[in-house]
Amino acid sequence: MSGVAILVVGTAPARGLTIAVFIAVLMVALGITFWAARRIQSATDFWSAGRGITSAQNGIATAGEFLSAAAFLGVVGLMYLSGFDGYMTGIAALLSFVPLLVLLAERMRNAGRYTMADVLALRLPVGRVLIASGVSTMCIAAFYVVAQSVAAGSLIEALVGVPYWVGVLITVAAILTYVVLGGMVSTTWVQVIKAALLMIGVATMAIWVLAKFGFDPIRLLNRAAARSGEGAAYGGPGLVFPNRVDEISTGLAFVLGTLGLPHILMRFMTVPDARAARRSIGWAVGLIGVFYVFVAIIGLGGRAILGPAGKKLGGASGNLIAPYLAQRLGGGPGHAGGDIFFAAISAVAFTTILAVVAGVLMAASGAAAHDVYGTVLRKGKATDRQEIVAGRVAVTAIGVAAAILALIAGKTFNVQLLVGMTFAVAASANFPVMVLALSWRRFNSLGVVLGIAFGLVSSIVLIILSPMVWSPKTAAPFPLGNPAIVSIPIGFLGCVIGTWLGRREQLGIDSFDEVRVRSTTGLGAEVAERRQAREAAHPREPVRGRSA
Amino acid sequence: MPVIDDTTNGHPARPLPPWREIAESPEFKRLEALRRRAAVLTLGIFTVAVGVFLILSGYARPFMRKSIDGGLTVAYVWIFGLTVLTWVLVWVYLRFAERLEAASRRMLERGGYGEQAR
Repeated sequence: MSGVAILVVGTAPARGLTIAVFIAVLMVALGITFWAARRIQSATDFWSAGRGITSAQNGIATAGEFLSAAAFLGVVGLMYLSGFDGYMTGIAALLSFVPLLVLLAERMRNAGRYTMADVLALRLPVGRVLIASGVSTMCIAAFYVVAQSVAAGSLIEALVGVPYWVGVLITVAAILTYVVLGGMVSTTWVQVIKAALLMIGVATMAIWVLAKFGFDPIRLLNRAAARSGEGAAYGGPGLVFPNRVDEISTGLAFVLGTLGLPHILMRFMTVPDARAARRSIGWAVGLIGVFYVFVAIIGLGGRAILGPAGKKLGGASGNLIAPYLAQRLGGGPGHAGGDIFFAAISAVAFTTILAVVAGVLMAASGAAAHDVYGTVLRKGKATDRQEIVAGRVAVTAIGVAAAILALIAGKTFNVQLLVGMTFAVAASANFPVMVLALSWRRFNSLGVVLGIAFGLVSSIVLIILSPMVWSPKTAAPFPLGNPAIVSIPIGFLGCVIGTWLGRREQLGIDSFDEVRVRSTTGLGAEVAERRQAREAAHPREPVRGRSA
Repeated sequence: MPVIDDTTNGHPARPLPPWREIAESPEFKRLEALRRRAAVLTLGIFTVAVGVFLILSGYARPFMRKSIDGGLTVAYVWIFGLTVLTWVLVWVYLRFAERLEAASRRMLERGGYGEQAR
């Protein structure tokens, strides 16, 4: 069925125009990359953009990091198919900023250097802690990059008409070029531009949809419900998640998973200080909130305007509802307005995929090159140049691996499965560890290792046992599509058990005061101008902690 | 008053701040408690609003589907309410954090750590 839909879509309208816009997007990204590449001289430049990103830029980029193709195409598609539940899976990402701000953002900025693992390394012996967090970062990055590559491949196939594998290869090659050369500088700028394009795109569409209903949202809601065939159920929860616990569990994964996503946490290292980290959250929350108001209107508009017939255009997962709604708004297929709007919204979606994958790859390369290679393997003796080279090698390796996995998985692989997995793993493996490292005096390195291991293994195993993987769905041994409600407590349990088993370790206790003071006051935080002086004086703080 | 090791005067190398000493000072503890109270309050309001929403979405579906005005249901009103709540909580916390940061900078300067804080 979905094969038919994609075939229909394969002879997409306005192909020439869409291709031209896609190429223009790639060229702009490449231009930024060459400009950025000349500015990269140190590891701080590569991973943290020299800590010279302003709070507004970082806030917009953070919003960009959140607003993936799934957030736009996926949520619009799910709203078209199932109404309110589809919207819930999107807006939960906005809610997650409250715990992110209160629990992690400023304290991360005050205590860390490049990656989330730095916060752990500040008070615990580095070896196994960094390896454990490196493994979970890579797993999360792999799921995310594969999911986005699959989405990119099928989007390009549907919109431009080239085969799926060509789409995947073009996407991955483009992303690798600008991440490897441009590092965090170009990643941030591409993210900022993409966020701006996305906001303009959704605002235009939403206002257009509302105009069709006389700017009366109630009329829009009524019409969408009437054309859904579901009646009142369309306006409430239950259509995506027939299982009640699954609804709650998925909500939890999205609200808490964000606090463990390495590419989001890493963003707070790019700003000059904690104040800028906080303010960037203000920017991000404002933008993402407005974005989801627009997306609600577009999702409902998709149902209200395209009606049941849109199902064939949107594909099995509804992912192409947004561009086809744009086409209808612009006057329909064959009309210049419809073709132009279709191409523009498609290009926005394509840019979105490029930008999000770049951010995730940066986080993975930071974990591989800075944490595992620089700190564990070379014991902090690697030069900046060596760390950057290692980072570039790591990015390339992860990108190539993801491209191969995306080709093996094929376009019929369930993208939503991988995205849900990413959030569940992040919420179960990283979130408990990060929170406890900043708040529990007795927490030690065995606690980190077991916490990550329990969270990672339980979430992955439960997903494999879930109805998302089993066919028929009722045969699945574990009833929930998203395991967060079970695997997050298991992650915390791992932290507690590990801490109890390793209770004779003193280091974490001795250095807890440092974490407290640093995270509350910002004393000793890495600041752009002071960086070199500090590094000359204290090459590796974690190592100093070990000799204490 | 904490004494700062000044043997590296004029050098880029600075003595590490006396973490424990600061951590045990009453003023730091007061700031930390203030911050904790703000965090608990913010997260408490948030957890109740989001938690009740999720539980009702699972177990009170007819209620969530109830119409307030045509197709506008309790569920949509609640979720837009959560958006506004997120904006308000973030805004209030940002304002609070600015004040807390100013207070902690004053504390560090009084203790003679001001140089290192910047």
